[in-house]
Amino acid sequence: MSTTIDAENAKQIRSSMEVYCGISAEDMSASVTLEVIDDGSIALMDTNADDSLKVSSWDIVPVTDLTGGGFMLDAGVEFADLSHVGSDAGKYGVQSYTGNDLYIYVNASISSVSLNVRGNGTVRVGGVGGETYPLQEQLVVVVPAGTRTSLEFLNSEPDSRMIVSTIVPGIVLNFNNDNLISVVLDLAGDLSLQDPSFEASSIEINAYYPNDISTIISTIAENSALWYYAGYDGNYCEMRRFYVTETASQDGNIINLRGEDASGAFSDVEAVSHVVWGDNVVGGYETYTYIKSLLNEAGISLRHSQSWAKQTRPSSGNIAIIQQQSAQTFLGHVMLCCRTPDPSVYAPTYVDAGIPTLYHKRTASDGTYKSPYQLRVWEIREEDCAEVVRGGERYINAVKNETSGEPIICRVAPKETGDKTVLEEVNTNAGGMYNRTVQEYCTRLYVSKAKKIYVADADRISWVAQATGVSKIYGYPVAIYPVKTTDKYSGSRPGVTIKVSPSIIGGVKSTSANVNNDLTSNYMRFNGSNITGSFTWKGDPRMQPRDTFKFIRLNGTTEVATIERIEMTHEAGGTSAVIYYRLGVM
Amino acid sequence: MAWQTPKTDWAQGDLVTPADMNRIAENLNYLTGTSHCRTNYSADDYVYKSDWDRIKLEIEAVQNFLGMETEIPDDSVTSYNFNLVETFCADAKPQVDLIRVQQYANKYAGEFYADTEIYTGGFE
Repeated sequence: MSTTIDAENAKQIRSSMEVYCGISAEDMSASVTLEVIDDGSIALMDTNADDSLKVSSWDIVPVTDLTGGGFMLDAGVEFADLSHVGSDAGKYGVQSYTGNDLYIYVNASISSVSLNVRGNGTVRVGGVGGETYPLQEQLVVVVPAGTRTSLEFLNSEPDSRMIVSTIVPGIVLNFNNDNLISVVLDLAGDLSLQDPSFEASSIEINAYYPNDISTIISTIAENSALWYYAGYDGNYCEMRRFYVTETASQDGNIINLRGEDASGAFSDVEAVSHVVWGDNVVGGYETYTYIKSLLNEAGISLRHSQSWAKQTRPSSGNIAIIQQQSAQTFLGHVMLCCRTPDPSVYAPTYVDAGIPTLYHKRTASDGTYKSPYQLRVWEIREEDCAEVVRGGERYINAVKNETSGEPIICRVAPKETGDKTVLEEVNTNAGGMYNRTVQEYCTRLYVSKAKKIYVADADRISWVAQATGVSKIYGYPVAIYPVKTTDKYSGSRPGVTIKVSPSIIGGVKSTSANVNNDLTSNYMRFNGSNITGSFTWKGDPRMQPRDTFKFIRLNGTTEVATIERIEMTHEAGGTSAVIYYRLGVM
Repeated sequence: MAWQTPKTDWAQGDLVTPADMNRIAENLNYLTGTSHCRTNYSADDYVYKSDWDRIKLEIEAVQNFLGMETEIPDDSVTSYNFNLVETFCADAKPQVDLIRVQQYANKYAGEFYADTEIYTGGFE
């Protein structure tokens, strides 16, 4: 009987969720040669089976097979075609007559080979006396590298076929409720008001595996792909992808796999100094575009990305300068500070947790706001929760620059009049590549005698020299006008003064009305809620950090809150989650 | 060629068994008076595309013989197509039977006689 996540969540006792996860560590740099032996035991196969077996991404085509009670109508089944060629559209693999064995020779350049097999029986490597593996759908076997070795698929069931669909070098393992011990996800966000950063999410999988492959799996390369999804047949959450960060291990029959989402790549990425426009909607657009470039530099491929038509700078106005800092720090600050009061106008947000998503504004929904990729504003009842904890931080009343005396907000104006200032002279050789960071932020950075200038931004310039001699770096140093050294909350309430390191010099405004949402401004620090909390709940695999929800309290009141973190556990057939939140739309 | 009552209520999710394929093939062979369609499906078999192409050809041949205009199934494995095939067989059988009886009666009487009642005394 089909059901849905929503239907099950509404029940007092939810049916066990189906959990699927695994590792795809196919070694694309290794080679494998296959020879399918047709000794009369093969009932159906691709005409290019020696090749189609090697492509794990081609799905098996369900065909009109009369075994097992027949084939189903209206189920996407196709008539079996003896001239079928395996391709992107699908493959047959190699299918035996009922009760028959299959024989395939493999010559792999590495010793671990992953098989995808359906049937009953065993797989024997290297003939009589060779290692035997109980057959399961996803199987990793050891073969002597660089040697032509037989794989015998020995059928133990007279009424069923042996179907081999994939043989690839490397390690591909799939787990489900039948062999999973536990899956623990830590889906992280940071909604702190003082020093927000960007945190990586993680996954840990413990699963049963009948054979000892501890040596093989310890060779799984860092950054190999882990995947996960959960739900009910026909209604699953979106697949989350993580990447191996620790050596895989096997203790007895329990395999352990750990990984993080793609944001682990930020550790190697710096948000370099960069000029963005400060005024109008162009400021918001250019800041959003800069976030995209950071993600691109980290090698993160966005699953969801909200588009924004290019905004063109006017002929004059103010600029803002993003200071050099770690990508995590910049992302944390820009998501907290660089927002309009109305999140449906401008609220640049990046969330990973296995589903890299970027958007620049929230969608008005159900009396509040949500991510444009969030199904709806979630609804959680306190009566369905346990361990409900509520906390309160002290309000932030004022913000100062960490560096004493330095301004907290600055107006930055380009001052492009007269001759450009010579900032530095560099001795160059023709064809040489040069990089310099000048001592002042500038506009119109330029260097003489350059064959090509690759970067000229804020205080950074990179070029290839045209000639041997002296190259001069020119620019217009920008004028920085300190606005204030302390930013104070405009209302009256008790609170603390905090010190911060400004991520940006100047103001970034994202609307034509120039609503003040300067990156160094403290709008959200001052107006973000000081109320936080956590609770244990049944969990919903579709939820993401920074999703909004309505928390219906026992006293009947409804609070709108933003999810900061989700610690979800699938174990012993059950699912639960600890959710951390902050009140309001963050 | 033994006729079996066609199944004309195929629905989504129904399983097609070897017995079903053998019935369809036997019925078409009955209609055509040939053994063009294979009738030895077993649990170790597939229904090949060539088998289905043969079924479609046989339907077309009977249609042309009877002057019927009915839809020919396409190559999708659906309840709609299986109902098309079996309903066709069910609809065509009375006409084929009538023609066969006519032929025998014609041989007996030596001349063509077209009526709803036919003397079949001595007809075997």
